[in-house]
Amino acid sequence: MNRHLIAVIVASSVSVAAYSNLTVVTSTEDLASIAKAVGGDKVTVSAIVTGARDPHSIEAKPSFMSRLMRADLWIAVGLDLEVAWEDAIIRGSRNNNLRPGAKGHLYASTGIAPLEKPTGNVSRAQGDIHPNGNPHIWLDPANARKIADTIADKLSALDPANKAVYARNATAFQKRIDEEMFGTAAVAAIGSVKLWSWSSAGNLSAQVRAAGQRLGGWSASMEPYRGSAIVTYHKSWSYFADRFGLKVIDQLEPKPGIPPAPGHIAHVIRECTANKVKAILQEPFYSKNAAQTVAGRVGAKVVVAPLTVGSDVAAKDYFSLMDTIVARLSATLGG
Amino acid sequence: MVFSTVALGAAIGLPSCLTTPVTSVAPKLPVFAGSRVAQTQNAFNPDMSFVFNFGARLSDSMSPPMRRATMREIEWGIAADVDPYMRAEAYIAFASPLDEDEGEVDVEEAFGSYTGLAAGHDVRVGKLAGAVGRVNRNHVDQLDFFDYPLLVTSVLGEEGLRAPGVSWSYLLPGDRFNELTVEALVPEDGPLFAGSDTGKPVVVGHYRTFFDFTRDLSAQLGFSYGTGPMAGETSNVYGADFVAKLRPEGTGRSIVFEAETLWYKAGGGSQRNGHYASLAYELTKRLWAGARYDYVQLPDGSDTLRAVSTGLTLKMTEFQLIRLEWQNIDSNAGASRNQLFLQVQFLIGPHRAHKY
Repeated sequence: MNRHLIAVIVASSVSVAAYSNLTVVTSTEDLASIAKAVGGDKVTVSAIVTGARDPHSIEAKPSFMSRLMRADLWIAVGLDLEVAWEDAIIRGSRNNNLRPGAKGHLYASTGIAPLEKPTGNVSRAQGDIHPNGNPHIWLDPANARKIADTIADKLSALDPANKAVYARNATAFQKRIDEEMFGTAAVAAIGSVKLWSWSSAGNLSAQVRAAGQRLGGWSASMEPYRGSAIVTYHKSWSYFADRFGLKVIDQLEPKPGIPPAPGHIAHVIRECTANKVKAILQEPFYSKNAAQTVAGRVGAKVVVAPLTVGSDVAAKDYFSLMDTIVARLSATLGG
Repeated sequence: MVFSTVALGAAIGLPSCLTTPVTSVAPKLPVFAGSRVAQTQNAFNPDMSFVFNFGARLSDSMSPPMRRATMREIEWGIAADVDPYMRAEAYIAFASPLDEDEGEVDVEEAFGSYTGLAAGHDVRVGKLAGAVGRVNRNHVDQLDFFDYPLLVTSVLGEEGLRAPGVSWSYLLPGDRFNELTVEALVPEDGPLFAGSDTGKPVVVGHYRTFFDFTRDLSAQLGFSYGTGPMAGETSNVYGADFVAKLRPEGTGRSIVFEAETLWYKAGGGSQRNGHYASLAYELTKRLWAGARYDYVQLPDGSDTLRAVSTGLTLKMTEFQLIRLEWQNIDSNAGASRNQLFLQVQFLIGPHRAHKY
């Protein structure tokens, strides 16, 4: 009898150990995808911003507060992307471990140099700008690598017993990013450090050719269009454009958060004509009227691409998100 | 002998927030000299915002107050953490109501909330917006219409039930959002409660639950109860509040339906009731159309008011709106009035929360 009891206790202990240790809630599905990759079966992950929603304009729904109440870790992008609702849902959850500065709070942008950080005086006359820089960091795969490390460090701090697991998972995620970015053969022959360095310097194709190798992956799809001019709706695509050498000549929004106006559209049409723009890249949650007007006038195409994981049926995780953006944009630029 | 502060605190009934060491949260004070000290101190300044609310009214009444334009309110919002245990918030209105000849300074809300209590609990002390229904807790700038529903202004008080007191709320554990709030308040005399003091406070309770039906459709349902003194007798109020929001992804065509009802008995008076229902529809990304129906039996039993309001709101940005609203208000005493309101509202300061 006692032996049976001990067996039951041991069995239940084993089954508890097999369950996830930490409950993680992220602001976006991109962060959730990376956190799942890093945390593996040691974490349960869910995201607040689901589907094709603008992460800037989420309402602080009470159900978010209930989810955060039970969470061990809250991961937000930071750089004021969630400024309109993050504080409200953390306070509403009454979970003090998730407040900024507490052990259960993480900004994924930690350690990433933001693009487009305003200099000089900042005011709302400039639109709904982000005073600490552009927050759409996840659209550069190099930043996704960094985010994986940042999440692994935080999970290790919260769950030291599984530190090696998190480190191993982060490394595996980064290896896959490298291979998706440059191709397996190029990574094996040249090494990811050099490839990222050449990519950042803007001479990736030439260096890989000089090394007698061939690029694969996202870089192979996008390198032919390095230097191409595009127009975007909002300043969401700056990190993507910076990584792949695209020249964003203007936005359809005259200022961040301000809808397109006729005078500005006329200006964008002139710019598109002068720069031979072939693609207008925009997020799924904005009206396409302005983009279609401009595209129709200059012979360009509107590329509606997922901004985040989950905002398109094809974007199921971080890798398929980047696959989808690269495939749609390269098809248009090459068409 | 070495005592655990947590165990010792629990033994004498202190909440964990007062016994848990806070060294991991509170940074050590840096030792700076001269101007560096001033710069460091600036980091502790509270967040501040100002909401400017301009209003103009045109009416079929020739009475001058009915054809007035004023900066009806400038609301000064201040908020900061006091220490690891408390956060302070204050909303001070410099008001010049359309119906009054003189302006006033009014503390709409000012409270400290204890942030470090055990999981799910929240305690607030100060001047509070009473937990009766949903719209009573909103400030004027958060309304979808020019003014509060008649239910609030005619039953709970001109600015609603706002009073000094203590509030305790508890977020129940579980997957669904369920929140219970109980408050003891000492309001100034109003239509429903009068003569309260710290020995005879007004006690109100509110329960709300939230439903996420789909990604796009959600709703909140609440129930209220309140009791308190009224001229030597007791007033009671019961209520229900409901809001549903449909926000289809990427379409910019949201619909918000909201309704509240109260049943009340002021002192020795008879049982009365009041209700409102409103619908707001997002015509385009920035333009909203709204309509509201109000019905209220005044608590003193003298009169019944009905109003129909409809209008358009242009939200230029998150920080500015322009609203044009028509209202017909009518009472069983025979008085009927048509009013046209223009509201221009703008905000400076930090981004305010997108409340549900």
